[in-house]
This record gives sequence, C-alpha cells and structure tokens, in this order.
Amino acid sequence: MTGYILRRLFQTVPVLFGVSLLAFAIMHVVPGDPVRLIAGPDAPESVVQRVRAELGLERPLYVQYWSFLSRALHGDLGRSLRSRAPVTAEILSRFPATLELTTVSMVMAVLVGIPLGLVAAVRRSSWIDYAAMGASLSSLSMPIFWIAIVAIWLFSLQLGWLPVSGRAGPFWEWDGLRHIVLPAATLATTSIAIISRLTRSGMLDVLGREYVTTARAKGVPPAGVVGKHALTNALIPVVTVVGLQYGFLLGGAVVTETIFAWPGVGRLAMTAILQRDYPVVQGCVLLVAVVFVLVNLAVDLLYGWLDPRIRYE
Amino acid sequence: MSETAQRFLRHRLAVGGLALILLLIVLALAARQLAPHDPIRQDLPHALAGPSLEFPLGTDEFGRCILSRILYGARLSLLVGVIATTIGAGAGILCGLVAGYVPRFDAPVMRSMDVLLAFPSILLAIAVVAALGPSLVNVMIAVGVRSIPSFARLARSMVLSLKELEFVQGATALGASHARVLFRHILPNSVSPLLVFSSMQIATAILLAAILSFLGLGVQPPTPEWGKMVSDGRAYLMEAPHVSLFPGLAIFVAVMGFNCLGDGLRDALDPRAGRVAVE
Repeated sequence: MTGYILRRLFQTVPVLFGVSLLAFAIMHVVPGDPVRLIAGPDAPESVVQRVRAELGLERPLYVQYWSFLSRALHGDLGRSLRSRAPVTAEILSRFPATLELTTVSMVMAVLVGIPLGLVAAVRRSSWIDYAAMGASLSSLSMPIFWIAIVAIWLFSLQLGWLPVSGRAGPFWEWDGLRHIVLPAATLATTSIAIISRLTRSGMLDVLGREYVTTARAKGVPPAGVVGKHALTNALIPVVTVVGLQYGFLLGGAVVTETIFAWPGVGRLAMTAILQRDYPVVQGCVLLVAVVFVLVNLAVDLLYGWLDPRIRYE
Repeated sequence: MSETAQRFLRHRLAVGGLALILLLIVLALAARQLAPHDPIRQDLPHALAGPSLEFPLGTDEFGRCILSRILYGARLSLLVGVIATTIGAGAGILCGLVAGYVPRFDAPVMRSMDVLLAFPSILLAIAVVAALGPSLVNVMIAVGVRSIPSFARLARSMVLSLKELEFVQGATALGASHARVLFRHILPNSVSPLLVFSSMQIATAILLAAILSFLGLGVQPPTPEWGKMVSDGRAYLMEAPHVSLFPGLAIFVAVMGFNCLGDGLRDALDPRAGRVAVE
C-alpha cells in the first residue's frame, strides 16, 4: 500500500504543476493590458509604469511564474483589484459556505441515491425500477439552473415554504437549515441520478455472482444477501463517484451559488470573472483545481484500500 | 437489416431519442415557416402575456413570442452542441491517437489532459469564455475545449488495445506508414465507442452552452437562445413563470433526446456493454 500511495502522490506533482501554470497564464492571456485595468483607463503613463513595476510584470515570464508559485506556496495569492483585500482571505472567508453546501448536498445525494438504486435493482423491471431510472435520466437531462428556478417558483414563491436565496447561519440552526434546503437539493439532483444509476448497475452485476447464489443457497435471508453480501461489494464504484462528485461540487457549484446568492467560492469566482478581478479568478481557479486533484488522490487511495487489486496494477 | 440496426430499433428509449432529435432538427430547419411571429420583434402591449391562441406559449417581457423564439433557438442549440463536440472530438481524438501510438508522447500529452481534467468543466468553460469574450464562437470553443481530455482518454485506450491486435501488427509488418496504420486501421475500428461518446457529449455541450448563456457569457441579445431566455424570465417568475418554464423544457427535451440516443447506440454497437447501466 505504501508503494501505491507514493506512486499516486508522485503522479499528482506534474498535474499540480500544470494547474499552477494554467492559473498563472490567466493573467497573461486576457485581452488588453491588465495593468491598465488595475490603474484605471485614464491613469497617466507614470502610474501605469509604477503599477507594472509593483506587480513585477516587466520581468521575464519565467521569473514572474517562479515568484507567483513561491508566493502561492506561502499562501499569498495577491490582492483583489476591487476590494484590495488579500485573495487568500477572500477565498477562505467563503470556503466554509461552499463546504457546507457541498457536504449537505452530498449527504442528501447518498441518502436518496443509494436506496433508490438498490430498490430499482432488487425490483428490476418493475414500475419502481422504471420510475426511478426514468427520473434519474430526466434529471441528468435538465439544466441545473432550470431545476433551481422551478424549485424557487414552487417552494418559495407559490408555497412560501422556503426562502428564495441567501445564507442565514450554519445548517444546524433552524433558519440556516431553511436556507440551505433548496440550493443543496438542487445541487444534489445530478449526484442522485448518477449514484442511483451506478448503485443499480453495480447491484445487478453483483446479484448475479456465484457467491451471492451461494449465500442464498446457504439460507441467508434476502435482506442479508442484499445488505451484506451484495451491497458492500456493489458500493465500491459508488464510493469513487461520491468522492469525485464531492470534489467536483466543491468547485463546480458556480451556477447554484449564483442563482441562490449563496456566499461561497463559486459565486466569488463568478463575480470576479464578470468584474475582471483577475487575482481573485486566479486564486479561485488554483484553489478549486488543487482541491479537485487532492480529492481525486484521496478517492484513488481509498479505492486502492477498498479493492486491493487496484494497487497491484 | 443489419444486426446492429435491429438491436438499435429494439431499444425503445433510443428510438424515442432519435425521434426527438429528428423532430428538433425539422423544427429548427423549418423555424421560418413554422414560427407564428418574428422572434426578435418587440410587441410591448402584449408583454408577459400567458399562453393563448395567438401566442401558444405566451410572450416574454418585450412581448416577443416565446414559441417563435424557442423554434429559432433550436437552431443555435443544435449548432453549438454539434460544433463544440466536433471541436472537442477533433482535438481530443488526435491527441489520444498520438499518445496511444507514440510512447514518448504518451506521458506529456496525457498529463496535459490531466491538467485540463483538474478543472471542473463549468469553471473551465466560464474561464475560457471570460478570457476570450462572450460570443457564440467562443462558447463553442469553450465547450469544445472542455471535452478534449475525455475524447483523448477514450481514443488512447482504443489505440492501446487495437495496436496489439494481429491485423494492425500485420499492416505494420507489411510496411504501412504510421499515418496509414492510425487513420486506415485503428481509427475506423474505434468509431463505435467514439460515436456513442459523441452523442452523449452533444447533450452535455447543449447543457453547458445553455449554462454559459444563462450566466450572460454566451450569445448576446436579442438573438433567441434557450439558456438566456430562462435567465431573462427569472425576474418575472411570480407573474409569468412560463417565460422561464418553456425554454427550460426545450433544453430538457433536446438533452434527453441525445442522452437516450447515446444509450441506444451503446447497446446497439457494443452489446457486450449490456443494458444494465443504461436502462
């Protein structure tokens, strides 16, 4: 296992290097001169030159990249062009909201997706199976912003059960819980569809295996066969997908956070992109990609632990 | 009728998907003849009107016919879906073929693909459009770039398995050039999985392009685009929910069609994959 962990860690290094290179490139591929943007359109040449020198943009690219990388490794991602606050602080102040939204949504997805897939597999070709798989295929085909809008229209505007948008404290408080239900449920729809389909196909595969037939022949009750013998094995690929979805949602909740005015990293990134606040965009992109790579790594390691065959490939 | 076609036609969901797509193509092509109104012309006295005989799906905040805008919008969504997927498939397949066939290119090409995969697709597409500027062409590029790594991985895995087979080694032994081996022997035998994957990617591309337009980074007004139409209707959810509802349904139908078609093609072209994962 140690060799496997070291090998996977080693493979992550070039990817993280590439990610940092792409994040660095953002500042240099945008149309126009970023210095003009920072100094203002009417700034005199002397100010423009001073800002350029302050940012170190007159130095060769490789020197700039090295400086960017070493500062980033020390947690310094520069300052926001709009608020002048350190980018790291801006991101860290919003990360708990994103983490909370993603975690609640993944818990919802697992609690709904796995039982749904399980029932669909056990009752294969019944109306429950068709309804569950029809619903999951449909939700995979729906744009998430539309699901959000229909949910707001129904649960907030028509029924008045839940607030339209915003965050009101942690989810374990009543008001916080009411605010997180709609965005988390919206975010969970795709994950529920993926998890339920995967659980179902995994279960169908496992239920046909000889060791399950043996367990049945030995007189293990149906609940034991499904719950202990089949589900534990069928869930191995589900664990991978849950991990990947979690990593994906940590950075991919841009749309949901924007629609529900959820004060997380996704919304910060979106606002920064629209305001052309490049240091913030750079920071968000770097953070999201690094988190995604690390979650992938963790999932791979977990998978290697759950299924020893992977380690020896 | 070939066995593949029979398998496809037996897959009811796939036939339904194909029918939906064909219907959408016909509606998009005949938009000029079918649309009851000019999709861009404003008619303020009829703003936010509900569905009626004159406006079957109602009107938006400028009194524009939603049905007409959806019909014209179909052209754009299908076009973006197909062209973006073609961009991603073209670049991705080329990268995958080279990585799989030439060992010394394998690590650098695939590690670059890993870097692209490290960015969540929505964020990557948003960043590309933000850098290039909002326009239809840039949306196609952004959405296409996102799918390059997935196509590259698939193409590479096909090359790796095919290049060990006897007919490919035979061609190499007979002196066929590398390009001939790649494009005459390996690529044609990889068409089935690539076709299945492409049809599903068109669905994802339509969704992603709609998201970009919804966020204001796609096609600019007054061009009718489904994602933008949903976004514009948000402000009138209380009094006129149909403004957002119908364009969203159109996106759903189009994406569903390509997803079902992809599932059906997979079953028809690769029966070994089984129906378990797709039913």
